[in-house]
Amino acid sequence: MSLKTIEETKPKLKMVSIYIMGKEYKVPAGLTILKAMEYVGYRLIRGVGCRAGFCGACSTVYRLKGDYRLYTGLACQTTIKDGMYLVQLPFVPAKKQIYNIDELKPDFASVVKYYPEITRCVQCNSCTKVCPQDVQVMDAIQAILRGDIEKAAHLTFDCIACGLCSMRCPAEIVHYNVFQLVRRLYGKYIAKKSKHLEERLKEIEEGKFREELDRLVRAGPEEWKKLYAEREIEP
Amino acid sequence: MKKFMYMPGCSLKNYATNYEKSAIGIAKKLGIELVELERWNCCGVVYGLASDSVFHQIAAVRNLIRAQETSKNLGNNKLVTLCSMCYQVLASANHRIKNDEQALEALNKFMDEEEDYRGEIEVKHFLAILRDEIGFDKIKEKIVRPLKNLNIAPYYGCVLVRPKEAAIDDPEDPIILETLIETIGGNPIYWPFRTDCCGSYNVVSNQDIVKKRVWNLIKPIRDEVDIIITVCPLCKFNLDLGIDFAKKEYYIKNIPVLYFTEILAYALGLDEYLDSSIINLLENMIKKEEVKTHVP
Repeated sequence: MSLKTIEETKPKLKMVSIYIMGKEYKVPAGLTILKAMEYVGYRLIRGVGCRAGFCGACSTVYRLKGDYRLYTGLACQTTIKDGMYLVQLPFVPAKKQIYNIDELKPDFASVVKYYPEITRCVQCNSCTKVCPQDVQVMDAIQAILRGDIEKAAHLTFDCIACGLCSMRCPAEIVHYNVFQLVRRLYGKYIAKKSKHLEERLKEIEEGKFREELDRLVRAGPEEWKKLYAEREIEP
Repeated sequence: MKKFMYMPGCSLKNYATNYEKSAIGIAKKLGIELVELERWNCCGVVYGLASDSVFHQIAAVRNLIRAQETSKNLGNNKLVTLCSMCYQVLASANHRIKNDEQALEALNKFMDEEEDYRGEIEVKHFLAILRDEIGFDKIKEKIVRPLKNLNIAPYYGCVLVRPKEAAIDDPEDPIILETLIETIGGNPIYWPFRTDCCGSYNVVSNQDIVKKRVWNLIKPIRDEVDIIITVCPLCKFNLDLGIDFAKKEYYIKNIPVLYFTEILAYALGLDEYLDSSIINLLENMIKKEEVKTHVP
């Protein structure tokens, strides 16, 4: 029986080529775009967040060799493919309006006042095609144009504000900020109020939990560590 | 009950809700059902009519694709609209795309997330459905409250009968609204400007143009007319604005502007599909005419 060297016992990794800013790197297949970038030595400060597909910070644009399409995805959720040309979008310089939700009504006029560019939609559907969350983005903009705030709010529930739609829109609509306004309008004026939430808020305001919180604040670091270790965890 | 696909358009969901409500009531009464498309977008409005760019046909053709998807289950390829702008935009785009293979191919390739449009959809205005699918004779049999002796002026506006490729009647001398008025017992008055433009979207940037335009339109009929009927939410908006202006500026009497579906729904006795203000208005007008004719 011949002995194997340490090198020989290592599992063989299938390596693929990716291109970051035009430079080729060999990375193990199966990594996500985010992990591949860190593998080759990038230290990500912007354009990275929850690493679980929820925060929308790591929007990526890429092309594949021999394919005319421009693809998009979240770097933390998309696995690399051989011959991928990658560009990270650390930030989308989007217009964000300041408004007082108490002074608005849940209608078309309220939205168009702050985001008049939504009327420029030519229904090319580019926004829907790039959405990593499969939101029907164009349908939602169209619902707003006919004053159906409720439908727009429901259609955009899964939006994580990655901004890819806004980067592709020929009408320069800032979809995700528009949708946030729409969901706020829906939450405040249209959605059914949940009674138990109101009751709980009243209890909090009346100070029902104050004593318990005060006791926790007074307890100090040693007690906190003990409480944390002994905390109840849902099965 | 025969089912037709129905595309409401944005205006009908905003400020022209009376138009939609009364039309749905009429359809039900006459034995047809208007099935709203599950997904639809803005028709594309004037962009599609004013530009040669194929890109501006996307909005309309996308709606036609939605209709194509729906028609498979419905077994009827007719798409009905109420708003005359939606009608014109969809019908024109349909006509253009059916006769321009290259444009259709480019659009189908561009919209690769949708099924190809095959040009099978027929766009119909609700008025044409009343005339061709039901027939004014049949409607006449169901009239319970004729609008006797009321002088009603039909306003076609510009896009319902022009251009002729997408017209629902003769572009120069249409009679479909006059026939409808006679059907419900009213007295259609001849209005030379009935197919002229109301000023359209100028109302957004320059209301004075629209006010003066409407004043010129209504000048020849302002004394004899009782009601003006329209097929278009934008026409109604502009006519109301112009009449309000003429009342203050030229001391003309008030002329109510109603959708043709509102007077038809009234004549058919469909109170539950009408605003009480409309019912009161028409009731009072008819009573006034009765009193006039009974004076010895």
